[in-house]
Amino acid sequence: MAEDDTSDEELVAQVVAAGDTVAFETLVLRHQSKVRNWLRQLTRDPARADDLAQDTFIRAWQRLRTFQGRGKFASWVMKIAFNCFLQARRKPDYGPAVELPERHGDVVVPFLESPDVEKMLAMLAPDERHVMILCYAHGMSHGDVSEVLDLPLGTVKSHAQRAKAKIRERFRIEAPETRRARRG
Amino acid sequence: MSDDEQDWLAAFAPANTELPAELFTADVVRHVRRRLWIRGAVLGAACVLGVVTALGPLYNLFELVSMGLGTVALQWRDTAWYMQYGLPLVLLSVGFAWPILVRWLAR
Repeated sequence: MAEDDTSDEELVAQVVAAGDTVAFETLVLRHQSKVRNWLRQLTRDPARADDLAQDTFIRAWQRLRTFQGRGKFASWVMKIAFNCFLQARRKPDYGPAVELPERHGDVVVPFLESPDVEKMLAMLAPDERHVMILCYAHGMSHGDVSEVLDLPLGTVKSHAQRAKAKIRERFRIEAPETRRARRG
Repeated sequence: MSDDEQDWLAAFAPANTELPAELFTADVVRHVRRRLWIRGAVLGAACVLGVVTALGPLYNLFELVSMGLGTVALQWRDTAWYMQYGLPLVLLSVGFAWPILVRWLAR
């Protein structure tokens, strides 16, 4: 297996130049968790998510020559995963949409005791949900998120702001200023 | 990074837990290797089939070319021969020379 300190771009070059399946295996090992989690959050079905993740990596293998190395490999593969999900969702046999959780009470809660991620995400519009998952679950920058979702950077930022405001309002989470004042 | 951003990251951290990699990765790599094998087999079979199919016509072509070359070798000093096959000779020359001509024109 290729060494751990080899960059993604070097591994891609090895796969493209010599069809090196061991280098590709290293890429899959590195990114599988991220991709599978992303697809699990999109589909809410672990089995279906893993099938889509497999399709994602096979598609990535087939299109590896088109990876220009301008962006990050992680963003590129996440974008393929998102496209796989969109294609699967268009099929008529795709399952039902995500259900919204019940409304939370009017008790003000500090952030870290806030409701679980699933409930927070379920109340958001799809684009806002996708932005929040990529930004905060996967720690991606707004620029990378805009590449994955194929949205303008400004739109990504406004989706993030709107989503955070919605979550704060819906779950009565303290705003950072209030929290700081209370701590102080 | 602001405290607020750190709080959001902490709140969403459970949505990105590390998933076991071995089985999934082995599955993906097995699929890729199988596809490679199938592609190799199909390409190999296509090559063999192509060669077998083309063997007869290739043999005829080779015979024709060697006959033609024999004629050229024997009659290349004969000027009447050039007059007789003038047009094919011009076309052949243009065929060989056109890439050079195109490059020259482009420059």
